[in-house]
Amino acid sequence: MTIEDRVRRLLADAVAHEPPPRGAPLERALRRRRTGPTIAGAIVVLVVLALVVALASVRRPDRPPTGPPATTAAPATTVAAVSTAGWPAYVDRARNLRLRYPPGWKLRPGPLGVELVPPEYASSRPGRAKYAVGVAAFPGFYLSTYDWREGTRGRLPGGQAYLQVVGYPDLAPWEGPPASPATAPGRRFTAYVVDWGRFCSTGPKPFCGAHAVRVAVYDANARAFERYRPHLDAIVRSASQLRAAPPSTDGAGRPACRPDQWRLASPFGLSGSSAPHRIFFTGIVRYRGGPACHLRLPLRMTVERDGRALPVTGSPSTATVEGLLPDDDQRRLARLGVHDTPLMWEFAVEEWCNRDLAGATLRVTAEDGRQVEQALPGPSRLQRRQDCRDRGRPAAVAGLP
Amino acid sequence: MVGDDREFLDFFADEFWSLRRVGFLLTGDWGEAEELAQEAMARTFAAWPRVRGYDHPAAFARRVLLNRHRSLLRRALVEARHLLASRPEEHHQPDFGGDDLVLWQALRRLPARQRTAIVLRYYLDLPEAEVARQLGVPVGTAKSLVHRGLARLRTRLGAEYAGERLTSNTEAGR
Repeated sequence: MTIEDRVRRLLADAVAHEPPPRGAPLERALRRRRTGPTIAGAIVVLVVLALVVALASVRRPDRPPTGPPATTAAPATTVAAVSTAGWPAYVDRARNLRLRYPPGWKLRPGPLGVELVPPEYASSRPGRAKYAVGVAAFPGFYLSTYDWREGTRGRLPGGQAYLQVVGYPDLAPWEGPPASPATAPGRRFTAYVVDWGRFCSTGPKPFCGAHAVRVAVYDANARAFERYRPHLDAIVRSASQLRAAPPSTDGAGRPACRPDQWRLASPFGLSGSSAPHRIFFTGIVRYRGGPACHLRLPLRMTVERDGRALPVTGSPSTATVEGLLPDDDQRRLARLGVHDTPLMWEFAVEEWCNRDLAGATLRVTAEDGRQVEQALPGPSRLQRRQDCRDRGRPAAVAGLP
Repeated sequence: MVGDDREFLDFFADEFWSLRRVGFLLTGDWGEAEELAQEAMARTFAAWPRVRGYDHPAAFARRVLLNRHRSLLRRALVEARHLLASRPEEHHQPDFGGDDLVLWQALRRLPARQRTAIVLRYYLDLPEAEVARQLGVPVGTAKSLVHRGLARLRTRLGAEYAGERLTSNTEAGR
C-alpha cells in the first residue's frame, strides 16, 4: 500500500465513528447568523436611545417619571386552554402530520420546515420574525436532540411522548432557569420534540423508521412569547397522525434480541453541553448480527474511584434503550443521514466545578454484566474554566432515556 | 427568499456532515469541527442568494470553513502566549493503534496548510487544481504542500516507506 493510499484509508477511518452533534445543527447555524445583525442593531438602538434621552433631559430637565419602569416581559401568566375548533389545519402527508394553527396566522415555508407567524409579524422575513412557531417532522429519534436536563417530559392527547425544553438565550448558563420565568428579561426559546413513531415517510428522501416532530419558538421576543403561550400549547396539542404509527420504541412484533446480537459501545466518549457544569457520557448499542429483533436494554451507571462507588446524587442512575435491530444501528442510520437513534444512551454528569468527580470513572453496565467505562477529565480542565460560578453545589448524575 | 430557504435546507442536509468531518480532520476535535461547520453554514446562508447560483455552492462553504480554521489558528497562537495550561486530552479520538496511531499523530503535527492540503486531496479526493483554489494558492504551491506533507508522514512511518517514490506530483487533475 502506498503512503497515499494509507493516508486515504486513515482519514476515512478517522471519521468513520462520528459522534452525534450536540443540539440541532441547522437551528444552531441559523441562530448564529442572527448574532451579527442583532448586535449591530442593538448598537444602533442604544445610540438612538441615548440621543433621545439626551434631548429629553435638555428640553424637560425637571419632569418627573410618569409611569412604571419599563419591563421586557409581560406579567406572569398561566397557560390558559385555547380551543382549536375552527382553526385551519396544516397537513404534511409525507411525514404523517396534521396540526392546527390560529386563524389569521400566516403559514409559510421557513428555515426549519414551516413557520406559523402571528399577524403582527407576518411581514417579517422567514426565520427573522420576533415570534414564529417552527414546525418540522423529520427522521430520527425524538430524544437526545437537545440538552434534555433542561427539559420536561409529557404526552400529547394522542399518547405520543414528548420532551419540552425551555431556554433563555440572554441568561448565562450558570444562572440557571429564572425564578419567575414569565417575567424574566430577555429572549425566550422553547421546543417540543415529539416521538412521531415508526413509519415509512415519503417525499424526496423516504425513510422507514423512527420519526420526530419538532414544534419550536426560537429566540422570541419576551412579550410575544408570553402572549402566545396558550396558542403554542394549543398548536402542539392539536398535532395528530394521519395514519396511526406505533411509538419508535415499539417492538413491531419482533422476538427479543439475543445477547450475542448486540454490544455496548461508546465511540463518542464525553461531550460538552451549553451548560458549563454538565458533561454527557454518550454511547450506542451496536448490532452484531442475527435475525431482526427488538431490544429493550436497561443500563445502570455508577461513578467510581479506585473501584469504589462514589456517593454522588443520582448514582447509580439508570437509562433504558429500546429499539429494533438492525434497523436502529447507528452506523446504518448514519449512512442514511439520520443521526438520532432509539438505541443511543446518555448519562449527564453535573459537577458544578467542585472537582469532586475529577478523574473519577463512569461505568455503564448492562443487565448481563457487560460494561463500558469512561474516565472523567482530571482537575486541569476544571481549573481552566473561567465560567464556573457555582462551587459548592453537589455533583449529580442522571440517565436518558 | 422562501424558495432560497428551501434550497438551503437541502444544501445543509447534503453538505453539513461532510464539512463537519473535514473540520475534524483539520482540528482533531469534534466540538471545534462542529463550530467550524456551523460557522461555514451560517455564512453560506447569509450569502445564499448569491451562492446558490454557483456551480458548486459546497466549495464556497468549504472555503469559508478553511478560512475560519486559519483565523482560529492565528487566535490560538495568540492565546497560547497568554495561557500556559496544556490542552486537556478530553476529546474523542479515533481508536487507532500501531502505525495508524503514529500516522494520525504525525498528521496532527503537520503544519496547518500541509494538513489542510492533504485532507482536501486525500479525504475529499479533490484534484490538485481544486485544492489550490480552495487554499487560495497557485497549483504549484498546492502540489508542494501535499508533497512535503506526505514526505513528513513517510519519514514518521520509518523504514517501510523510506524508499517509496511519492507520486502526488504526477496526479494533477486526476
